Amino acid sequence: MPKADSLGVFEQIILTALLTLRDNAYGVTIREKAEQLAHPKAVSIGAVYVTLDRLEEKGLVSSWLSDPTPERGGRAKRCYRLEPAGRRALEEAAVTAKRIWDSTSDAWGRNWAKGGAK
Amino acid sequence: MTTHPPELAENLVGWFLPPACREEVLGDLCEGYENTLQYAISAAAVAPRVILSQVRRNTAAWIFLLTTCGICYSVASGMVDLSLEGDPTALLRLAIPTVPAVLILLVRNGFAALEDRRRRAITLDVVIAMGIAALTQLILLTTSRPDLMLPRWCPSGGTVFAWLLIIVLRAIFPPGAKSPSAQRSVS
Repeated sequence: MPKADSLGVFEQIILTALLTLRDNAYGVTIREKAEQLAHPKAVSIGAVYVTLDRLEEKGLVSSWLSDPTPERGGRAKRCYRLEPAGRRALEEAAVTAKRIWDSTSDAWGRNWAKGGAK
Repeated sequence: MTTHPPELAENLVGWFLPPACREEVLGDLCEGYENTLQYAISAAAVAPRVILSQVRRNTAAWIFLLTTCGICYSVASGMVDLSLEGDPTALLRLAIPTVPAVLILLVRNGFAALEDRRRRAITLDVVIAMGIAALTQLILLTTSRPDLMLPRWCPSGGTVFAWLLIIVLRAIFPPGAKSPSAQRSVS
């Protein structure tokens, strides 16, 4: 059984990228989406592969090889999708993040929340 | 205008990538191709990470520990001269052939696939590791540090037993067997 509480921030970012990309989730698109989510930090494709590998081993995501495409020099893509366990783990992480957001907004005031949300 | 990397560069990069992820990594690198230099830099950044990732994925900790102990035993049992006792460099002398042999087996784990774990591949893993261990001694002999060599080392029954044990261990528990469901098929 995967440990939902052991998700790191980067793992949460990758799972969120998979959630939003749906059927178009493979190395290049996941890295682009992860970079948007992690802004202003840069995200390397190597880090994405390693994290996807770990998540797959935990059973949170699954992968399969698609058909080869000419724009990739006739190479196949490895596509990824969220598994139910991954969805649950992401939900738990999102609920925790929401609680943190609410608490910090209460503590630091409404103006900070508006600024932080930019 | 070409938008694909040169075939030679792709073949070279492919050689450094584990077979379990070669196809998709080469495809992703091809998609992001701008010029040969950028391709080489991207490949150099990606390759070590995917190799390490596959090593981690294919290596069970307890088999790794048993293998390390086996290699240590094979090296130590071959020492005719027991004057290492009380020698401050004893551990270093033991580690010099052991560490490269263990590392080479780990890298071979990263490049392994369950489908490819035939007897020949397993024996080749061990022969390469033994060769690397012997090579360290040769390097020490030809350089100016023969004092770090194992004293009067020659293979003994214990050495052969330990290496046979490693072969059997790898045959019964091949790399990737720690989580067969997580093992990717080679594309």
